[in-house]
Amino acid sequence: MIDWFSGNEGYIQGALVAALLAASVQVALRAGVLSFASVGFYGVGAYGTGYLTATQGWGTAPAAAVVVIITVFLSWLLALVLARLRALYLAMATIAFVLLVQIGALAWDSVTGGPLGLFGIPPALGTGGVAVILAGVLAVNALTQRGAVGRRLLLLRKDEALASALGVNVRRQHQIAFVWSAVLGSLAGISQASLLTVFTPENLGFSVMVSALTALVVGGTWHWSGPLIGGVVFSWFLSAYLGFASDYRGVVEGALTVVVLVFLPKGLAGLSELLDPRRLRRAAGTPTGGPGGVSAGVPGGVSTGPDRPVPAPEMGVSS
Amino acid sequence: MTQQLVNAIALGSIYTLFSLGLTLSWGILNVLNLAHGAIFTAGTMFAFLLTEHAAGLPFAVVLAAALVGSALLAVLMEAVAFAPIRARSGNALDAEMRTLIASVAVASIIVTVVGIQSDHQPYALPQSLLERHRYDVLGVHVSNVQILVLVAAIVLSALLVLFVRRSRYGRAMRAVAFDRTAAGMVGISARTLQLAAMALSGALAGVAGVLLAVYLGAADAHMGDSFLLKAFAIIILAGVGSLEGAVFFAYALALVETLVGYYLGGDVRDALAFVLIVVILVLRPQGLAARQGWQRA
Repeated sequence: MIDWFSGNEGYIQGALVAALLAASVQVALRAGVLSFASVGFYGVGAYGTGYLTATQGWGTAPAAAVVVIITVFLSWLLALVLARLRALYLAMATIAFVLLVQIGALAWDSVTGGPLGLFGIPPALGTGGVAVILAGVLAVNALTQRGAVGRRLLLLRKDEALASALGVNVRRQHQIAFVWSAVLGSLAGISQASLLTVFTPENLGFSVMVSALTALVVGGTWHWSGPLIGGVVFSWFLSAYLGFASDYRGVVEGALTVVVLVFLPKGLAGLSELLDPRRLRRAAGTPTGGPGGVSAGVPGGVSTGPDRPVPAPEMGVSS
Repeated sequence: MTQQLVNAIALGSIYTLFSLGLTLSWGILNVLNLAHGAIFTAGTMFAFLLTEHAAGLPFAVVLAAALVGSALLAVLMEAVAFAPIRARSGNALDAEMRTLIASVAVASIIVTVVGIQSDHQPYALPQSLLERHRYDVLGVHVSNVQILVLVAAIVLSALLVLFVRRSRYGRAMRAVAFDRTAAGMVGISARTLQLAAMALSGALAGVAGVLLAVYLGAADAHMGDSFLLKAFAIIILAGVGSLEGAVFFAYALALVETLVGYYLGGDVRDALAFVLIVVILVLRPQGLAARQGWQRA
């Protein structure tokens, strides 16, 4: 057991960080906020912790606390600035932010160490510490997927106008989702910096976004367990079988993502739903109930994902 | 300084070709195609492989081959990934999100393949492909490559604007962009036109890529990334779908970037695009050129 653990520890660490990062994107998407800013805050978290611990000699705990506070402040400011943006416009602005963080990491030598990056970051968190963080995050996400909060999130994603009409403060909910997403991204960065003890601009940017999105989509975009499943499948199995720096990793990641997006919209987490005995029984008996809006198989009638058969209204104009 | 301006015009021409393709796919398909930069890179790789395996081909043939290759790649992406995803999505937001993620995935595939193909090193198109000449015009050096880039950008963007504004197919494309359902009712096949729009978009990216590779002398697998950021800024400034606006702001951005880089340094120049995106999105989300928010293509 211990041999097995030490032999696989690197993969496990990769899986944990990937899961955190995927969860950070998920909490934005599930509230209908098409933001990838958390991938940028991943860099803020990693560099913030690295700078405070390795350069300034702080302890990891106070450094992490300060970094999270800074993340909350910065993301709240960014949320205020981007509040009017929706859909693709928001996606574009946040992707630009991700690219900007990488540019900043390269240029701001005195803090980030420029192209060489930061090294000598104390490995205080360890695999156990990161696992605890991830467990806490997933617990919060699982709880907020149920009950009143869960239904509100679903409504926000499905029909913003209706949510607004029912008295949900859409702007406020979006801000909360945006900040929570940024905090999770920052936690992923703090974890990564502490685990790797080195952080360079190469650990940022587009490729991180690809890995996070792949883990999320393959694991399951709408279920709280999706990021964990995706993280394990990706960073663990793929790294174990392909090697960390395999040439073909990008191809496998990309191809798998497209296949899952097309054929399995709810990801691997959705498989359990497909095999749910209640759904199978219902499918055998009456034709699927519900006025087209409720996907079969989820107890309580709240769908965890977009419902396929609903005809798209109009696709051409959305803003 | 005047020399810098000449360089800015060449850079602006590349920005023009690149952003026109991106604004076309966004305006007509409602896709934020993050694989556009990868297709741009793939165009240079097609040209490189062609010059490796069939040395001595004239430049025009290489350029045309890269154009066709990139267009086919974009069509493939639309047919295999985007169209099936759109067909199975619940609502517009869901479709936008999933096609966006799919485009990131496709970009990852293309960039990785180009990286393997080039051994993760920069690669150069052979000098013999296009002999370089320098001319002195009023004390400023102008190379034939710069002239070629400028002429290509002007001719192609003029053709594109004419096509979209005047031709039967261009009008049909705009109809699809405006209202897919209504366009379908009057007998326009959205599917075919979406494929055509992606083909045009990919072709423009391929041409831009080859011209940039010739202009800079080298290319590498990740060169598309930084262009995406610039193209975002240009599209936002112009308003999504505005072709003339994209042409104008491509040159404007190149010019301002060159001036900023000259006076304030390269780091400020690289951050400029982001600042512009945020400022414009917040103050005037419909863009500076578009007359109305819904005006597309």
